[in-house]
Formats: sequence, structure tokens, C-alpha cells
Amino acid sequence: MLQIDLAGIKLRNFLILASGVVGSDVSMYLRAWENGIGAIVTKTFTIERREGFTTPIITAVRCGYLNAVGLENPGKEGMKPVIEYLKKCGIPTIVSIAGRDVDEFLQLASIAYESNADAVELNLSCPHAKGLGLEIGLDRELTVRIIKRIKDDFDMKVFPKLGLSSNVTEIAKSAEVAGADGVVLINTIRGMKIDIWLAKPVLSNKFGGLSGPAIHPIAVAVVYQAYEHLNIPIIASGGVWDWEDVVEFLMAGAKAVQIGSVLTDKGFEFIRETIENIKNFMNSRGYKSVEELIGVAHE
Amino acid sequence: MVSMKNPYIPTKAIITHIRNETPDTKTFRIRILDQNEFSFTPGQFIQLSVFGFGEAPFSIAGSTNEKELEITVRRIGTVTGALFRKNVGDIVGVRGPFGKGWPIGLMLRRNILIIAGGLGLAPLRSLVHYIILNREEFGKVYLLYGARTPADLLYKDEFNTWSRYIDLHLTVDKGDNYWKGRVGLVTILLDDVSVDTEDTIALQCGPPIMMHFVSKKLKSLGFPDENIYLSLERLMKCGMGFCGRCTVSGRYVCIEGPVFCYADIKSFIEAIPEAGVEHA
Ligand SMILES: Cc1cc2nc3c(=O)[nH]c(=O)nc-3n(C[C@H](O)[C@H](O)[C@H](O)COP(=O)(O)OP(=O)(O)OC[C@H]3O[C@@H](n4cnc5c(N)ncnc54)[C@H](O)[C@@H]3O)c2cc1C
Ligand SMILES: Cc1cc2nc3c(=O)[nH]c(=O)nc-3n(C[C@H](O)[C@H](O)[C@H](O)COP(=O)(O)O)c2cc1C
Ligand code: FES
Repeated sequence: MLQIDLAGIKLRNFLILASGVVGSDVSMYLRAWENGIGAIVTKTFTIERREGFTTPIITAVRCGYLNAVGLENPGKEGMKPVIEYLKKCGIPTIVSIAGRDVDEFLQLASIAYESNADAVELNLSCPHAKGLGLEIGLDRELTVRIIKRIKDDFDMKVFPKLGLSSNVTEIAKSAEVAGADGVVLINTIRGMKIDIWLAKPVLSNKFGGLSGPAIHPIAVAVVYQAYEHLNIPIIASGGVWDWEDVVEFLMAGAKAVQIGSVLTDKGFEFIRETIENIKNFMNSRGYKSVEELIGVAHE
Repeated sequence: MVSMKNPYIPTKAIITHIRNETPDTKTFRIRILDQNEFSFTPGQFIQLSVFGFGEAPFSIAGSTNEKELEITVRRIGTVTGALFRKNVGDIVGVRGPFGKGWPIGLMLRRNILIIAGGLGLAPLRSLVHYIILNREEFGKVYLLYGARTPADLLYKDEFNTWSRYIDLHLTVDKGDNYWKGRVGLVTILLDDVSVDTEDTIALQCGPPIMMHFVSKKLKSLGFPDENIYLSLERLMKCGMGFCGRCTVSGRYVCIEGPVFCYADIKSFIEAIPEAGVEHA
């Protein structure tokens, strides 16, 4: 009832672990899997090892969290062992990668491909790392080239993860035309918090990415709008805090839904409870499969 | 409106006393301003910020029945360096207490075997004070403590008092002209005591390599996994289960630790020598 076929990848359910929210240690991915997650997106890998920003890197705000972890990761050398381990455990594995240019993306994609990853998620949306993420993703022409080249060189699924922008739907459409197998919408949204007593921004990086309930309605709107223009599947990300939020995303048109910050607040049991609650909802409303839910909020 | 947990609000606090413990370690006594008490469980930690330099976690080393809090700090880098330049009367920031402390509920009326190495005695000192205050609630209590040299032993002036309530054993890696006690790693002290492995809870805190070998020895003595507890120290960045910097065996040290049952983190402790875990 909950299984989906995501661009050819079979998942036991439509809940996916969002990139970065549990760090980059495989033992945490395993724990999400044991608690019922349908697939894992790894922490974003970059070519070189990154130590990330200095503390404070995270702060709570009224309806969410602001983070500027700074894409801390072990670099391309760290990819193979993680991917191979997850695949050995039978876990559908989507590898998040971020490059500074086409060539870096190709190098990272090639490691993911050789390690038998199920797909790559292109981080074109991290709002706080210089020269990476959103700075690339806002350049529609570059985005298209990156997707085309990866699809040309490797027989692997590609899911660009796009951030909020005024023309996110058009960028998503261009990604589809370029050959993307699905799109992930959205990432955190750039924000800032100022400590008025110290009279300066709280985060060491000054700017951070806003996640959590604050961004959920925004993400729902982006997914809803994109669904009207796209034929490839949409994977939603942003502010899931309850099982109802997941159903909203599905009804807006998402085929799969990523969960992130909520795990910090509610623990890994959230995954199990969400699945249970959605099953009950579907039974009580007479939905026989997830497919019946996807996009029903559109006429 | 959803309210988020652990909001970022370091409470302002004033340093009321500083004591030199060893050449590179001091104990700071701190009073939270606008707050009449500070309640915590032994084994928990705080995030201390020195404004302008950043924030770092420190175990609470003081007593649960005192209004002020104490931390014992080794000078190692930016935050600790800045803290060492502070004087009595200066202001710092405190968040917390955080984390899961020692399993007091489980320890009541049982025998307790405490094994500490170096600075690892800090989170156990608040427990020792707690045990002394509630002595009749516990069975036999042993404290085995090792340091590099006699000069590196923490809380020396309290040993006499402690010895009246609990069975204290000391060792140093390297003695000096005045040292008459045991010389060798803390594991040798386990040969000096005979504990009832069935009814004793073992607690340890120290460098990872120490905890590796102590755990091995406890296992060979017959301790069940469920009766061994360890306090881990990992580099932390967010301290709120977010960045994943502190994880071991699928668990967050910052929010699910720092005290863990051996059964839950066995794979990590066993792999310490190969993993070359870098610090305590
Ligand atoms: C739960 C918990 C409890 C802790 N309790 C205490 C305590 O009671 N007393 C105490 O003194 N410290 C304690 N620490 C360790 C302390 O938080 C760190 O040493 C902290 O990094 C010091 O900050 P800093 O800015 O001075 O050092 P930084 O400037 O961050 O570090 C300087 C250099 O030292 C290295 N380094 C950092 N920490 C360590 C370490 N522990 N061992 C070896 N190298 C290290 C860093 O990699 C860096 O190269 C605890 C840590 C945790 C997680
Ligand atoms: C601490 C933290 C780290 C993150 N790291 C990454 C990352 O490395 N790559 C990425 O694409 N997104 C990253 N994200 C964004 C999340 O994957 C997710 O898209 C975003 O947090 C919105 O979803 P949420 O509200 O459910 O958390 C991170 C988010 C957080 C909170
Ligand atoms: S320190 Fe960030 S998750 Fe524990």
C-alpha cells in the first residue's frame, strides 16, 4: 500500500531521509532504516574534505531552525565506503553531491556510479556555502549542463535538489528537459538571527538555512505549482513536523517526501509513527495505494 | 505556533571562584545570574560560552545540592584558553544542563565500581559527592582513579574526605620522589579490589583507549554488558542532535549521551584501537 516506484527505484515506502540532518555517519543512516525509512539521501559530498563552519552553527528560531553547518563532509574519498555499506544492507541509497562546476559534479557522480548508488541528488540549493549549492542552482543554464553531462556519461538516476527562487518552476522544467529523473523541492531558505544583546548575528557564518515548520507552507506551494508543469516525479522536502504534513505534500503532487529537522525534535520513532498514522488515514478515507493520493489536491 | 526545544539563549553567569587543580587544569565555580539554583543530574554537561570566542561543552563537576555550578577545565584551545584568562567577577554564558547522566535509579542499593582516568574524574566527582550525601542508598562503592603523574591528580584535597565514605584507590603512570602509591595504568587497580560482578554497576570515564581496556577487563571478570556504563566525550558542534558530529554506534552523544550503557555502544568501544579515536 505504501510502496512506490520512484523513477524505477523500488522503495518500501515514500519517506526518505533528507540530506545532512543526521550527519554523515553510516550508523545513523542504519538507525533511520531500522526505524522504517524508505530510502536514505546521504550527507552532501564535495570533492575536498570540509571541516564546516565554526560554532555556533545552529540556532533555534520561533518556527524552525537556522543552520550553517557549512557542508562538513569527509570529501570524495569518504563516498565509496558509505555507499557500499548501505547497499550491502539493502538500503536504497541516493547520494547527495555538490560541485563547483560541471567537472566536479562529474567526478563525484562517477564515484557514486561505481559504488552502485541508486541515484545522485544534486545539491543545487544549499543557501550558505560559497561557490556551491544555490549559487550554482540559480544559474539555469549551468544546471542544465550539469544534468545533461551526468546523464550522458552515466546510466544512473539524477535528482536535482532545487531551492526556493522566483523561477523555481522554470528551472525544474529545464531540469526535466535536460534529462532529470525527478526533482527535489526545496532546501532550507536563507535566513538570519541577530543576538540583540551582542548586536551581531548568532551564527558564525552570519547567514543560515531555515528549516522546520516555518518553511512547510512555502514548500507545499512550490510542489503544487511544479506538479502542474512537470511529468517527472517530485520529491518534497521542507518542514514536515507531523504525518499530516506528509499527506499534504503527497496531495500537492509529491511522489516521495523527505524528512529532516523533525528527527532532531521527535526522534527516529517519528518515522514509524508517521507510517502507522498515514496507513490509518488511508484506510479510514478509502485510499488503496499512495498513487491515489498523489496530486489529488489538483482538480 | 510551534516552540522549538533548546532555544539558543546562553544565560549570563558570573565566575565566583577559580581553583588551580594541575598545571593546565582549573576548576571554575559559576553562579547563574537571575537564577537562585541550578539543578542537574550527575553526569550531565553544560555548554559554556566565552563571549567573542565561542562555546564548548563541559561536564558538571560540582554537587547537586549547591546553588552554584562547578566545571573543571583543561586548557586546550580557543574557548578554554579564553576562559583561563578570565577572573573572578567576569561574565560567561551557560546553556544547559544537557544530556543523560549516570543511571542513579539503577544504582540504588547496588555496589558501585567507578573507574576514572585523567580529566574523566570531572563528571564522576559530582556523582561521588552525590553518593556521599546519600551514602546509605548505595552498597559498597569503589573509586579507582589514574592520572599521568601525581601532579595531574585532580581534587587531591578531597581524597581524605572521600576515603571516609568510599574505597578509593589511586595510580599514576609515572611516579615522582614522593609518590608511594601504585604505578601503572588504571586497569591494574582492578586487581586490587574484589567485586561481586553480579551485583555491581561499573561506571567509567576517561580517554577512549582506557575505556576500551577497562571494558575488556570488566568483561573478562564477568560483568554483564548491561551493568557497565561509560561517559563519552566527542567533539560537538551543535549540541542538539543536528550536525551529526558527535555520533557513535548510531547514537548522538550530545542528546542521547554522554552516559551510555556498554550494550548500546559496544561496537564503538571495541573498535577504538583500530579506529584510532583521537582524544578523550
Ligand atoms: C560531554 C562533554 C563533556 C566535556 N567535559 C569536559 C570537562 O569537564 N573539562 C574539559 O576540560 N573538557 C571537557 N570536554 C572537552 C571540551 O569541550 C573540548 O576540549 C573543547 O573542544 C575545548 O574547546 P576549545 O575551544 O578550548 O578547543 P578548540 O580550540 O576547539 O580545540 C583546540 C584543539 O584541540 C583539539 N581538541 C579539542 N578537544 C580535544 C580533546 N578533548 N582532546 C584532545 N584534543 C582536543 C582540537 O581538535 C583542536 O585541534 C567535554 C566534552 C564533551 C563532549
Ligand atoms: C543540520 C542540517 C544539515 C543539512 N545538510 C544538508 C546537506 O548537506 N545537503 C542538502 O542538500 N541539504 C541539507 N540540509 C537540508 C535538508 O536536507 C532539508 O532539505 C531541509 O532541512 C528542509 O527540510 P526539513 O524542514 O524537513 O528539515 C540540511 C539541513 C539541516 C537542518
Ligand atoms: S553535536 Fe551536533 S549532533 Fe551532537
